[in-house]
Amino acid sequence: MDHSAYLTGLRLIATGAGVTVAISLCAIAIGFAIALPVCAANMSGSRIARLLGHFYVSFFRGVPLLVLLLLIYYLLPFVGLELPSFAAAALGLGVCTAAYQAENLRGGFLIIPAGQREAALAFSYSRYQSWRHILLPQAIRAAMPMMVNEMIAILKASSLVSVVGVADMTRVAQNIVARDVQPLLWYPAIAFIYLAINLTLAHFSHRSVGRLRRGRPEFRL
Amino acid sequence: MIDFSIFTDAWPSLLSGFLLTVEIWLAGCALAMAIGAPLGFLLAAGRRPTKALVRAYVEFFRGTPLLVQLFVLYYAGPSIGITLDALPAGIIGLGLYGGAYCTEIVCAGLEAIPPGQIGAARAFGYSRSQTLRHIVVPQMLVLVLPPLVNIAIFVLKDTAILSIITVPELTFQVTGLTLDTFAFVEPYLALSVGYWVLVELTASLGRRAEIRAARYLETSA
Amino acid sequence: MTTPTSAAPDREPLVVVRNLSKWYGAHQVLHNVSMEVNRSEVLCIIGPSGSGKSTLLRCVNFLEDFAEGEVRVGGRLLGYREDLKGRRVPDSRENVARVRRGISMVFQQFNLWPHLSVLENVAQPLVVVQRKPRAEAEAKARQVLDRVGLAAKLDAYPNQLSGGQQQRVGIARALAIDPELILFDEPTSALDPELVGEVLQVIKRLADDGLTMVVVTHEMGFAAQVADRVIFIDHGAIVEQGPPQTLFRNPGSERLAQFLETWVERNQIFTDAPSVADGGKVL
Repeated sequence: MDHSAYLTGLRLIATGAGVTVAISLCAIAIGFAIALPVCAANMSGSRIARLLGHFYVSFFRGVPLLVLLLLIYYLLPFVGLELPSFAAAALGLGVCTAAYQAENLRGGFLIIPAGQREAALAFSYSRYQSWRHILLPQAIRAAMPMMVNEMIAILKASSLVSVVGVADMTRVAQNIVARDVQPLLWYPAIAFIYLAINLTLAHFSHRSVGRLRRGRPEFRL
Repeated sequence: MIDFSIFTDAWPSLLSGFLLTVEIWLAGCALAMAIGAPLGFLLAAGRRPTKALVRAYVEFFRGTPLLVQLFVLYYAGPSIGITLDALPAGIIGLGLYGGAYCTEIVCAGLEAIPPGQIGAARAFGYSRSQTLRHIVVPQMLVLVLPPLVNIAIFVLKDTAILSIITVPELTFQVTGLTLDTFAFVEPYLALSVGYWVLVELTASLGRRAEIRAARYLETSA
Repeated sequence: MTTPTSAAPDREPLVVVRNLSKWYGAHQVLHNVSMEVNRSEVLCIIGPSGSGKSTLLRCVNFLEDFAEGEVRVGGRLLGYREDLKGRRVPDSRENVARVRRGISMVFQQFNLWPHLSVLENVAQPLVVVQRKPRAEAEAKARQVLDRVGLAAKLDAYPNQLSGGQQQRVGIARALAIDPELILFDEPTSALDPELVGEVLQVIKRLADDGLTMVVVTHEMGFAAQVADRVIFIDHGAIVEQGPPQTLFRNPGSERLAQFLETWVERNQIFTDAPSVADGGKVL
């Protein structure tokens, strides 16, 4: 095998890595958008809302991601939604990570001292205003380290999207190996790429914890 | 319409898949603990080079996707003389993966025990192994049980990934069923619910065990 | 509102509490309490720990609900209204906020918002609740922060400040909304002893400026110096009230005499401070 084949392989792997990162980011964003209402339901006064919220968290944390991806991939056309496999897979990852993110957020809310809510009340903040300006920013900040862990988990989990035909890094490596039969080269190679991305994220997570301790966030009025 | 009649003919293969899933799960958990307990001790109390080695193991296996680890073991293994069937490869892969998490948990549990406890044991003439057995482990168990139950649940869900390297466990059998019948939604829906129920059962068993183990922490008898 | 606006509203008390009773489960924490806060008055509430003084204060801006009695702010009922059948029902959150708008509060634990800078802590209620333009809110915030001596700390975060500084931010936040009344809930109780003085000095300056305030405090010297009127509460009921000179020199009840006695003793033993009975200076 000559050098150009390796170079082509590397280029393909790089493209795959891009897909892996892109689908993970999409999944995290979709997950966060779902996690907010799920968390709100879990903390609401309505019993029905809490029941639904608990069901969501329990179910999507209880089903193996691989099975969930397959289910959603086939369920979408069944209910009349034709999505490209990238979108279907991002959605599958998203509804799964939403369950975990909702719990992380809830944890973030629960550690906010009662005095914070009280101060907002005493200064006549409405329910929405105190949620938007006082509670949510603190909850997100408190949940940040857990959220980074969740990003790492999703990045790893995204390797499963290959089963529904998304050409992520794992899938690309499989394709290359199918042609050049050098599993000992390509599989460890992508393992180290995953590792590098995750260690970078973890490093960022430690830094964000430090920032949290100093109480130094960006502002919104 | 959703139609579940396709399961009637398939139940023998589904049953065998289910039993295999449970076997893999138990074997995977046992292996993970067998790895995690000693390595956890080494990570908490070992010498520096040992610690570094264990740390590298933990970081690598937690930082890369299980699927990629399985590919390396199962497909790249033979190139360096490790030829394994899919089933043992899957169990070993699962055990190594879960073991990394168990190592971290056991280490954290050990570090959480106040030094005064060990000092008190020494003051009463306990030997090292007596201290470990009668003082450290019972207290640590309470701390590590909840995260270990969590890992057991993750291992259960991750058994599904073994279907990708052709281990004929439950997800593999159901996928086979979908390919035979061209019905996708019903089998994967039923499979999802099945895993969910199994996970919830495990979680509730775990909670019961946690309550038993933590009895000494209750302030009133 | 049921009370007609009279010809001379300034003469009317700003806050009127009538027959207020409150229970925590079976335990009654406030017994039939009635009191008034007049405009430009500094009212200090004193009493032993657990006497219900903080609870009473928190009822005045409805951070706590209460089972019986009423609180009126500027003549308007706070927290409850009468429905069509004349029954007492909880008022809507919006109405409560409307009646409460002229009251601000300084908390024992500061309750500053840790994710916001000092400037933002003070300016945000103006932007969010009062819908002021940001520039105007920040100008106001700078002005009140200057008034409490923290003009140099605008960009700091609460966690980077000392307890005394944090509480001064709390006071600035309370001032910024131009309140008719500021409630102080044991503003120095969470502070290290050496930081108490700077906070009391700020509050005293505000009192001199003619702000209406109710201060729940353990600092007798401060109460003696600053209060127009002192209310002594024990076991959830008002035992006596009056100008500090009268109350501290000639306590009319055994319980107040005892309470003052322990306080004087403690402070003489540990700080060698002059007795409050002489209008002693503690600052």
